Amino acid sequence: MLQNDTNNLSQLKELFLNLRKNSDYKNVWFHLINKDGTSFYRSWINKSGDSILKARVDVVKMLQNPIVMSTISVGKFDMSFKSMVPIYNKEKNLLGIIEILTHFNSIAKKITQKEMQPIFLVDKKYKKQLSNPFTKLFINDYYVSNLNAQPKYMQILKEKGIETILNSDKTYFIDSEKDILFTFYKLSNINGQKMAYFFLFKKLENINMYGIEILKKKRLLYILIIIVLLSSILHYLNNRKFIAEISAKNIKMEKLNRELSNSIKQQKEIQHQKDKQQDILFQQSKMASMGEMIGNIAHQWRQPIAVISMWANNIIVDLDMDEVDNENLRKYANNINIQTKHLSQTIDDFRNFFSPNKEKTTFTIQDSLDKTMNLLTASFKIHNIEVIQDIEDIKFTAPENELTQAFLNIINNAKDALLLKKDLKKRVIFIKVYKKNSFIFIEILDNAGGIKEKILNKIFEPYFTTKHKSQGTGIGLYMTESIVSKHLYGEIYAVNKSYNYEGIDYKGANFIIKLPLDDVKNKEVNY
Amino acid sequence: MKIDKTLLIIFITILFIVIVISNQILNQKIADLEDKKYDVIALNMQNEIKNTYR
Repeated sequence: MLQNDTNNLSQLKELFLNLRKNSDYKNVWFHLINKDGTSFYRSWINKSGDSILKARVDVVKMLQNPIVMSTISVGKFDMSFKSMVPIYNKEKNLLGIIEILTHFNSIAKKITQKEMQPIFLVDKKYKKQLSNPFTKLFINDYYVSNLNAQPKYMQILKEKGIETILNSDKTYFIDSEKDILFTFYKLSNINGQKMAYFFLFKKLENINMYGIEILKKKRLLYILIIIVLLSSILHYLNNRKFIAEISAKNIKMEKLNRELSNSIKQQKEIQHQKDKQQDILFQQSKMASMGEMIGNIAHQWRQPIAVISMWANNIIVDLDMDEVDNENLRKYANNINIQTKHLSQTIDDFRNFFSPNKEKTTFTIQDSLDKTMNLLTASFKIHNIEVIQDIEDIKFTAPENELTQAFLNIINNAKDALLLKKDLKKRVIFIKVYKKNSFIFIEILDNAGGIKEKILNKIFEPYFTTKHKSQGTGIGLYMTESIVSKHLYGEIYAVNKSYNYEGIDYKGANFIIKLPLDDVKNKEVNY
Repeated sequence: MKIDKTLLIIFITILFIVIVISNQILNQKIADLEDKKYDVIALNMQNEIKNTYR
């Protein structure tokens, strides 16, 4: 038993004062209870010796099973917190119980130091019991036991509904308008009945959400990474598609190349055939020319042969009359020699004309025309054709025989046309050569009446002729055009021209050859 | 660079869907993390009060 001793009591009072002084809780009271359930000492009232077993079930339980016990109780004024500890002597015999009591204001004050705001609510079933409530604060029927409960938090509980919150399974609640997080803790009495609820509020700004904030910021980064990744995939797919398209186009192009190559081969073959055909045409043309030339040569040779024959007859006559004189014989022989040289020159001209020499040489247009005229002079004399030349001294580099051939064809053509005109008093061919800018112009004009306008643009086509089959092949002017355009890089065209000569009006065909002065020198002649 | 129109339309559609879905996933993830965090805070607060009055 606790000793009801004056000395002991004064020591106990001093001890309790020290405990209160050194405790965080300022409203602290002490109660000593004997092991028989009678009150030994109350620090808040001078009353002792009364039994509390009838009023205090928790004390009865504590005495039956003496362990440290904490509990709460609700009285007339307030809700209090009690902690009971059994007291033993040295022999470990139970002496009694020490009970420490406090109000929740002290606990609430301590809680606020930890950045939390508390509201301690007493269950509504104790409302009647609280006849003289200390704080006078209520939320609905729930008594608020801490004086420092802030109205704004009480408002939150009121708005959300205490019953709703208490019946919820949630651990925490958020008031997003006030940026508040709150939770609650239920307190039961010794019989397990709900007595009170501790609501704790914390401002969201006081909660460290660094990791989550970083994640929120990184969200943009993640989305950017996704965009980059998908863009890369698009780029890859797009490229793959275009590579496939390019491959397909390459294959198509290769096919086209092959077709083109085959086409070129065919074209080359056709060109080769054409060239061969043209060579044949050339040959035919030359043969035709040769036929005419033989006629001309016959004319050319007739006079010298007659002269030779005359001198030979003179020798025979001298021999017959036995009047051979060495001096005369030498004279006859010399004359025969002169004539044979003339014959020989004619043959040389003829041979040169038909020689296959296509080497480029530099010559004057006058020389080339002279060579042509040498082959035609005799024939022209027989047919009374006068050739009037007005030729500038111009040097030209080209295959000479080709140009001579062209001249021969045009002049022969003019001669044939003139011969058809039986009523002409005078047959004339005008040849004019002059230089203009970088071109040589060669005009060959006759007075045979010209070419019919409707066929004027056809005269250079192959096998086109107005002559009788026995006379014309239709190749001459075509070959001339080929020579001028392909071998001499020039142009040839024909116009009809009216003019007056020696007081008489004439009309004739004017063939104009236009040759570049430089190009032929620099280009290879294409055969 | 020439871009195929069909491919571009498909790409934009997929991109839009992926962005929406990934945004939702990330939002959910953030909400879950916030929930866990608040749960822990609430439990800590409850422990604080327990430790204070006991």
